[in-house]
Amino acid sequence: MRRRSSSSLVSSIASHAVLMLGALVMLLPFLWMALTSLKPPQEIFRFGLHILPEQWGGAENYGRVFSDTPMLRFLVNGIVVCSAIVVLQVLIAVPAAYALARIPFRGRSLFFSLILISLLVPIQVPSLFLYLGFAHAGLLDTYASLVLPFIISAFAIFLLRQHFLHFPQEVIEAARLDNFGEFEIAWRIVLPSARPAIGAFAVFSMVAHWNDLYWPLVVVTDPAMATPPLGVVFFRNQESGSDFGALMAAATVISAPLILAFLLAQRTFVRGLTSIR
Amino acid sequence: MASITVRDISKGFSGQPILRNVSLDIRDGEFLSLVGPSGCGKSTLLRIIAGLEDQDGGAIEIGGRSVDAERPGRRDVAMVFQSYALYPHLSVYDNMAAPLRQRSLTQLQRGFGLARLLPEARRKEAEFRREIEATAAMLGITALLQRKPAQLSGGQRQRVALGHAIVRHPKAFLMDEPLSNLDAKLRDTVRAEISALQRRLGATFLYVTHDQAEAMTMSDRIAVIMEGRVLQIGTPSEVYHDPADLRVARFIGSPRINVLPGEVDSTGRPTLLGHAVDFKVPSSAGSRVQVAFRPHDALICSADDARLTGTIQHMENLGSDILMHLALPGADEPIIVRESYETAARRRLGDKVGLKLDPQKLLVFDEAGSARLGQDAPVKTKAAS
Repeated sequence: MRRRSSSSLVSSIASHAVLMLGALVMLLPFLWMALTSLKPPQEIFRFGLHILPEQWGGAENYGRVFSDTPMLRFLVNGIVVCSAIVVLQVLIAVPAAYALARIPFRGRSLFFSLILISLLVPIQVPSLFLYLGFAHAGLLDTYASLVLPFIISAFAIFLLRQHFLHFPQEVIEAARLDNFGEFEIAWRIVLPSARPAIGAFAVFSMVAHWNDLYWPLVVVTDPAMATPPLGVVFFRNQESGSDFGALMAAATVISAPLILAFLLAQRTFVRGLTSIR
Repeated sequence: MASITVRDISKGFSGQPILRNVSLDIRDGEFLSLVGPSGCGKSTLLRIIAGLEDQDGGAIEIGGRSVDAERPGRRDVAMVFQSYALYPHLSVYDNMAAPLRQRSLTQLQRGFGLARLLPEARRKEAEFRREIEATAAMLGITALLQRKPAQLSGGQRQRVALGHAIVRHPKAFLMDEPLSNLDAKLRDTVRAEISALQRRLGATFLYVTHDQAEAMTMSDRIAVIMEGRVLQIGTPSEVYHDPADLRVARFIGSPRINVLPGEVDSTGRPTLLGHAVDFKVPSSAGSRVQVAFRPHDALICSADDARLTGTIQHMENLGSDILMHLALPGADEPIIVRESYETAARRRLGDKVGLKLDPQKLLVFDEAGSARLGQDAPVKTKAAS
């Protein structure tokens, strides 16, 4: 008994050590970014490995980020664009997923296969056509061009459909007898049970679009419309990329909201992804 | 309250017929049970009446008005499901309020939590509250109103499901095996409660069950359905004492009815297991018949006093009565006879005994079992062809 528990302690320590090593490898770039953002330029380029800053360069670096670039504007753009994308994605995905899961109609499985296939198509494939379309519509350099290509999410439809499939059929029938319409059933009866899944999806979607550089680079040239990653690119170009301290400070500023959001939503996020049976 | 008329309803799933030209008249304020083995189509019929399923042919009228084109929410019937089907994210109060709100508030009033702001909606909400509280008091669930369904026991959920149905005063109640998820003891209590409730409301109840005892104890009338057809409709005692079909006789009653095959001789008397009995049946000589009798309509006597004899194979003690299982040579299944405890105390397993039948109580069917024979046999009350 005693031996078994001590051996299980050893194996537990060993497995945690492996996990911590993995976590360290993942965290190292972020840690390095954060530490570099606190160092003055001469220390960054000094030969040899110095982990902690010896001189305090943080104030100067972060000060430059906010004085030399419209960083607040970038952050606001990022929040507006990402929230609009997530809200519209959910608004479209909920009725679509409900119909695919619960309303029998001709061609339902064909629609569902098409949605699954579209999961495999990256944004790069239709980007030229989308660009031309927005250019002709005069929508380049607008929020619309940043948001509209993403409002139909095959992943959201798929994820919610899987959740809705497990909702008890008799409750839906009871709702029909209670004079609920199909839209009301989707939003007011079935959706509340899928809240964790929607939370998980929202985190995924936020991260993907907050960090996206490709699409903003295609449709935005006006710095006033730039999202945070594009803003950092503009900033780097202006400074010819030599001021690493300030650059790392900018990178820290734009990744901080995501890290905070994830820490707050972590529990919902994990539950939403693991509760798909 | 309203009557329900079912005319020639047929329905199939992927080519497999489930209901074949079923017709039924459910009177206003009547408690009618649809009973039959699982897969006989009784639940499908209920769902067609509710509008949850479309029929392939035939028509449904509720309160004298055709509802075939109406969606479920407009038919004004309430259904109690086997799984209770409560809204999992709503409190008991909101579960009961849902049908009221969906019926009398506009989309705008119920949509965005505006119910509390608009004076018209607030007045209605106060009305709903009175209605819900009165119903909850009647069912004894007042203390549960703020709970969520997940925090309730099976019996409590059952009551909430009833409350959800009652609160909006529908034209008729449709119940789909509402007791089958309760444990046996609770089921007996709720059975009596539902009957009392129906009398109190004076409402039309259509009740689906596979349990013949439930149907017998609760209903005004029973419709026995098998293989998609209504075999017989009648009061519990008609269906029990005057079955129109051998399948009905076998399905209704516990312990089951006894059946012996026989052949009619030249004098018009059937021979059972090679022994002539002393009554006539209106069937031509040489034709085969099936003779059925209930376990309490036979007597066990000494082997010398009867033509039919057998050995005691098994004794089932029910406390007040004992069920004697007799093996008769030539019979496929044991004959069950109900005896009082005192009489049965003298008997031992393996005893050779005689079996006396009361000719007045015998039910004689044709060979296929689908028609009753005999002068006083009733005309089939109602059976689909």
